[in-house]
Amino acid sequence: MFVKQLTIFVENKFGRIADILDILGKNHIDIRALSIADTSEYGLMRMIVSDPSAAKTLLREAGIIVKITDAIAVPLDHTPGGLSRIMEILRGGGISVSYLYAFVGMYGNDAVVVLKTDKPEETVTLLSQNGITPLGNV
Amino acid sequence: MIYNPQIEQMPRDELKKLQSALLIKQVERMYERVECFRNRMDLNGVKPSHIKSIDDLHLLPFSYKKDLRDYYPYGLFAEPMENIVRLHASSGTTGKQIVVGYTRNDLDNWSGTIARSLSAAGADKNTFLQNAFGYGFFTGGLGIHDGATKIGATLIPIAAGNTQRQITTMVDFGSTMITCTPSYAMYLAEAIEEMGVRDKIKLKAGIFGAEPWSEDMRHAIESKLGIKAYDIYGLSEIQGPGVAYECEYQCGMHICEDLFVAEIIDPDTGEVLPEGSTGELVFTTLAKEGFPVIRYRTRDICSLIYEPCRCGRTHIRMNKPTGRSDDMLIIRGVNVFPSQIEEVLLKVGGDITPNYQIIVDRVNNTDTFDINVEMSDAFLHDEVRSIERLEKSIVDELRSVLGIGVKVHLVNPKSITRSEGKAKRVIDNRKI
Repeated sequence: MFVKQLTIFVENKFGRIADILDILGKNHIDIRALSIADTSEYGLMRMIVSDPSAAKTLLREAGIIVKITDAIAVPLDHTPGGLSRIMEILRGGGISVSYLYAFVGMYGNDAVVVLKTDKPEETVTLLSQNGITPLGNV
Repeated sequence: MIYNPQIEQMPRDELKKLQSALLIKQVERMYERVECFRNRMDLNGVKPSHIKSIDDLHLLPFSYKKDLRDYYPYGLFAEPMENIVRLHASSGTTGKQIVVGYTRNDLDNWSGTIARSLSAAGADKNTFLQNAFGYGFFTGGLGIHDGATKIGATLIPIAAGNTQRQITTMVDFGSTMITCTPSYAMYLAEAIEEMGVRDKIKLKAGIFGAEPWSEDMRHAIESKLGIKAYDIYGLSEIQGPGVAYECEYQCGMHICEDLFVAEIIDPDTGEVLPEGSTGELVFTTLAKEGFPVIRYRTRDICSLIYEPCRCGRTHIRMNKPTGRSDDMLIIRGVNVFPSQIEEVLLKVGGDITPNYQIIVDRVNNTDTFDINVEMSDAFLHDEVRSIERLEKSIVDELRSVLGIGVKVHLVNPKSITRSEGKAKRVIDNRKI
């Protein structure tokens, strides 16, 4: 079970992030989780939003390069050691993390970690075996 | 000094007779041996027997850089491979390199023209010649090398790059002449100044070529290094360096007319232009055996000087090329065509050519070479390393095609300036 994540190319240019967020805000797209990967030349904005395909269309119309990719959204206890437990499970299963970002209150009061691994299908199976069900889009 | 007075000072009527005899022979030989040439002659209804003197040159068909790709690798050679003793290669207009071949006689003629060039710049057997042109497929290094050996100079085959070692060698070995690209000469001059060894170098002259340079640059090199800076012209399709060279009066490059005939044409109509006009330079090789060409379109724009030179050489001179009749760029001495870049992007981007722009500049006397590529769906990925891998594959692929490094920048779609719907492909900010 995967969650649809937006990946947006952010050119290294003043005000670029503001432009993107402005489009989403004006169109009532709710951002549930967000991270920005910065490189020396450009940024990559990844986000989980209320309506990924509408957001994609809107951004694309504005000439922004955007892609929908699958990620895994894992709910976890918002207590010390919560994320650590998930990582231990992945380590035990020989799974490597490509990136992750964590959010509190994404779907309520719980914490959620959005992650991408080298073996997405195996990750979902392994987590399920450990009683953790990844979230879909809500 | 004039290396070969009999040839270099040959009266013009005699020179014309020599050229005519060589041309007739060359045309007959190529008609028999080079399919591409024969087909074009037949298409134009011209027979070798129609060529009675050099004045009939205009009857012959042109040849083009594209031919080297179409008949790659050996389709235009006029000698069996057993007689070819050397191959040189350079970049073509696309990703594919082009190759030329030399017989023993070709190499001998070539080194003869370099011997003339070096002598005209004052070299002799007492000269310590530091050859800082690139060795390998590039004709600069080995071309100068063989000519230096011919005049008996003490050759220092250091090849291009490693500035520190260039300067140490220059000081320790007592180099009196240097050969390299003009931009590298400027770079060396500044490094010498920084190291404070200007009074330890013994350089008297330098011969520079393989990229465009101006009179201002000549003066800068001459004053910074305290030398005389000579120009040299050549291209591998004709031979390599030594097709034309400067004498001590530095007023245009004498064309080795016993071997190469130059014409200036209108690049659009192909018409031969009157003496002194500026137009596209076209060369015919009179004595080449391995890879001869008839009326080869160099795409260089320049003019020819017919007035006798004070040096006593009778061969006409060509002015420095001022531009190109195609979109070729010369970056760090390497020929770069936008089409080569397009091809690489197409290959890497999965059949979609993204919009791109080439930006060339000169910083600290070194050409900078950047390519802005508009980001597209094909290039976007949610993992940074996947995008970086893609960028790296563009850089690597371009390096292998062009042989020089380039910086690739991913930019926003539609951010590259377009005029009348077409993106401006090349921005050349160099002030040469």
